[in-house]
Amino acid sequence: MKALTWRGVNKLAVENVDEPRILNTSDVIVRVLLTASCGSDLHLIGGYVPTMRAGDVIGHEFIGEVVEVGSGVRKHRVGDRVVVASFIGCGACYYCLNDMYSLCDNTNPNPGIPEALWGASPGGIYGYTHALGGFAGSHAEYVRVPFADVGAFTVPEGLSSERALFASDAVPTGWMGADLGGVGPGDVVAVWGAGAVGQMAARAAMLLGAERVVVIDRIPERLEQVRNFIGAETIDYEDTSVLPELRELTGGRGPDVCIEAVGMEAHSTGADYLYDQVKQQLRLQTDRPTAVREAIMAARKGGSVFVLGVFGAVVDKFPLGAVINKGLTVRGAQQHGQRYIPMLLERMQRDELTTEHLATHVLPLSDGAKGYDMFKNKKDGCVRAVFRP
Amino acid sequence: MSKAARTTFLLAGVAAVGVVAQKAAQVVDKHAEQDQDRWRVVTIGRTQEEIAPGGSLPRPLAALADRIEVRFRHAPGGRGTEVAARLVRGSSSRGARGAESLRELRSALREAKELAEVGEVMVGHPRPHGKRAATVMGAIVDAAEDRAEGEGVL
Repeated sequence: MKALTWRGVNKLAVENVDEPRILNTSDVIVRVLLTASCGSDLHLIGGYVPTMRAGDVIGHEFIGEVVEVGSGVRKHRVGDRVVVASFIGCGACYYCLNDMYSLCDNTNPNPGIPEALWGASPGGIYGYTHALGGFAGSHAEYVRVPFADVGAFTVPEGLSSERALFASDAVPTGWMGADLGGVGPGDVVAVWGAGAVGQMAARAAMLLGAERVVVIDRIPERLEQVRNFIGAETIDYEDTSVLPELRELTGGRGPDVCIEAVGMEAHSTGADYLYDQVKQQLRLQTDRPTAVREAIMAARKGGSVFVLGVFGAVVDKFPLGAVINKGLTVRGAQQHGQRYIPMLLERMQRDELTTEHLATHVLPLSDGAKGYDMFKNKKDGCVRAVFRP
Repeated sequence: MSKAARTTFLLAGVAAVGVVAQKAAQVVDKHAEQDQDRWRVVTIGRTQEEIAPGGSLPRPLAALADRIEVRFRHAPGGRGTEVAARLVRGSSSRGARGAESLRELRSALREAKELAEVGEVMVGHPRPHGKRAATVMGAIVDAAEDRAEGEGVL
């Protein structure tokens, strides 16, 4: 079958690879209908996250049709149209039973690598380094889905694949940021990053009752999407100073909840950006935490900061003093999709959550490298490149 | 400063660094030895009777029975059972053989947990992939993955 593979730093290619097989009784094989690029893929492609191997099939956000079912699968049958959570959860360990599916104890067959990096191993994820399981990703004609009864969800009749696709990762990730960030009625919420995850975090905050939601970015097309499709306010950080602007917008308090949806390759206009770039390129720090720092400084006293962006290891100049002295709650997580996807599909059916606008470029898989180039460099207003294998 | 004084100063510095390095190595070695003998523990979300019916060791720990000690303890907060195991003191618990035995033990504990909680051990291979170029980094990743189930903080 055809698959989009990582060939080395900033090199992608479509190759012929073997088709996946059922390996465990809980597996299904899915024929991929749509598979989306994600900002976190760019960290892998650019070589910022180690433990990629030439030939790895990337991609973790997808929707497809079940074509083969393992003997232990109970919820799915051949022909089901399913959207699949990007993190793999077993459904039986302490973390899965407590709705923290991305922390699953049993789905990363390579726990020694993340334990050395982080002191514990999260669950596995499709197409996302050998540190997180080495699973083949979804930018392919077929993909193996382990623990399908836990992580694959039948898409209701009438809900388009184009909309449901993003229930795989971007929508639950954004929802989780607002939910676990503690957004409630009357809150003012600031979101850093107007990509798909940031937009969905903003929409989630609104649906959870936030009175005012502001999204910060520098890309005009994305900020326009926020205003037109999400209904939130925007700040272009190239036009204004973010912290004074937020203080003014919030009566001098600062946002109640700050959600960071940028990750380890953040940009900014300040001197700290140059500093972080130099340190990252010299490998003196692995991640550029510009947006996290700003979110911490912006948050009101006693507020909360949720880190949704992907970070790999260590950062510099982390404002711990602000965390302590302002009494902040700082949290982060990879997405616990299984916890939210059924509810999100219902909201999608009711048109409370719409996502079609995110897929600005739908391309054949053979254009995978081109799609990532457009996505990475924001060419032609690209918000997400989506591939149709 | 005279040449002799500079030389003396330099030698004293080198000696001091050497002493510190030796002390540090002793501390590290001491901890490594402690770690070698430490109990390795996983928490399994099942009762002891479900994990080890009638007192029998669960698979695949049972295969290591003559080389390990195993103990069970109720986990707090309804989290099941803490299963602890360590290598029996002896020749196989030291040096390269000891490291290999530890990897075997960690893998066995992890697999025992998977078997008890989900009924089977997740299989990772074969999986689709493109051409694997023979590179130094690639070899490092392959080696890390080969050993990953038996390594880590466990």
